[in-house]
Amino acid sequence: MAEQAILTRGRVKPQDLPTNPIIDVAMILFLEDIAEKQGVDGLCAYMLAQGAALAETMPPEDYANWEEFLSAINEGRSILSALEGLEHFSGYCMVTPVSPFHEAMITYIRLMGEMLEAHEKVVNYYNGTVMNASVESMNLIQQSFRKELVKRVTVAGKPVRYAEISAKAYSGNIKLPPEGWVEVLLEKAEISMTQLSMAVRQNNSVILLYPPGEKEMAEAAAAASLKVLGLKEELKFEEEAPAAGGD
Amino acid sequence: MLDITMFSLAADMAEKAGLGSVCDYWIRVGKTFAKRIGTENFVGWPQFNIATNECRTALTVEGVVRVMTDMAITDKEGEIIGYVYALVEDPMVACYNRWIAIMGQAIPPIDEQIINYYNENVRPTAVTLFDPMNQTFREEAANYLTVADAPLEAFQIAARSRLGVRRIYKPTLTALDLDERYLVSLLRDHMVVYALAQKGKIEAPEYVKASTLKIR
Repeated sequence: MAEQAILTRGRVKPQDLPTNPIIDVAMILFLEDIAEKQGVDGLCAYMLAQGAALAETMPPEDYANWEEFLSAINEGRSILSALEGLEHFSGYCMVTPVSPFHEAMITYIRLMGEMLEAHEKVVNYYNGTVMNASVESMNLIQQSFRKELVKRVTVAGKPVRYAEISAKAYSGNIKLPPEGWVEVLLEKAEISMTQLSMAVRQNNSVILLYPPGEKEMAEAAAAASLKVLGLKEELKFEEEAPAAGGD
Repeated sequence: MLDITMFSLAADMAEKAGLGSVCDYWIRVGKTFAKRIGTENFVGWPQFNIATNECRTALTVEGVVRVMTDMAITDKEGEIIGYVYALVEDPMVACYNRWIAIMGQAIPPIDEQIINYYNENVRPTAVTLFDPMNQTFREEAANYLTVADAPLEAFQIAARSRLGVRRIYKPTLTALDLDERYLVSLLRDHMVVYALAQKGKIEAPEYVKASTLKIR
């Protein structure tokens, strides 16, 4: 019982607290109702807004360095791991072992049968117009949530960078980055193609989280030391190249 | 994760279309949910009650439901026409607990706003923001259930919130001739109490059905 489970806090991770999938199923029905009333584009906009709004509600975090950040991820203490149980895989590659949406989908299918066509349509719409990275409708909420959430996490005062690598649907279908992007993302994640295959096989989704570039870090350190000395920021650094993939 | 998004979704909807619209949407979802689960028929009350105890009916998808076998509802001839049922835990409790543990903050004000709106404008039975959906679901799902080929009807009796607020709906108490003291004791170990009875057998002139209301 959830009421009793709450009493065990400290021994149970927040993401392991029991859920009642009926609420999730009702939320899926609600999203289907939106698709019926406002079309696939309306549903897409709604799901993206939901993910973003949820992320905006979460408290910001700051870590002194990348090691501290990784340890918070692995121990489930970071907001990035609080809802979907994100874990460090290798290099800058992170994984979500189990989708936080699949329990709801399993219950939905058990109670009502096949999911409506609107789910497939919204995936195609999103892949064609927003970002070609989703394989099931719930990825829209998940990815927009992550995109906003990483802006709230800073390492040494700088926001963490993020990109999607792969996603696996409840059906088992896998979405990989478009050709040409894979090498770029693997290089950035510091993993090999074999390691990516391992991560994809074992996990629900694979993402790239990486620290700001060295110049950004140096800029942050310089700004911090100037602040300590009571001086104004005068040092300027060249802007780093934009992040690969992701948003 | 979807359960956690509910609060921001409801707040966003309320801002764009008003609290009435959110209740309206929840009620529609409750109806769709019940309809999609479909029809069920049971040979008699004993069979239905066993199925309920074993969590095999449409109404047990919400969680563990206990049959109050000492609370049989009878007609004037003394024939059993229904029973009182109690849901051990409100479906929203897990969601509230997860919100507090994961987000590290109090339940957003939209929860209370929707509860107040529903209680003031629909009927005073809500203790969670999702009660418009849950209560409509029970009432609609009962319409798809038959016991001994007789269609059923659900009546919301009482609910207790996670923080202990009790909402006992007087029109049902009167219609079913239930003792309020009994309900209070029932609410110690259960969070939602409702009755299922053969359709048309209970005269409840003041009873308001959430599923039949037009909020806006």
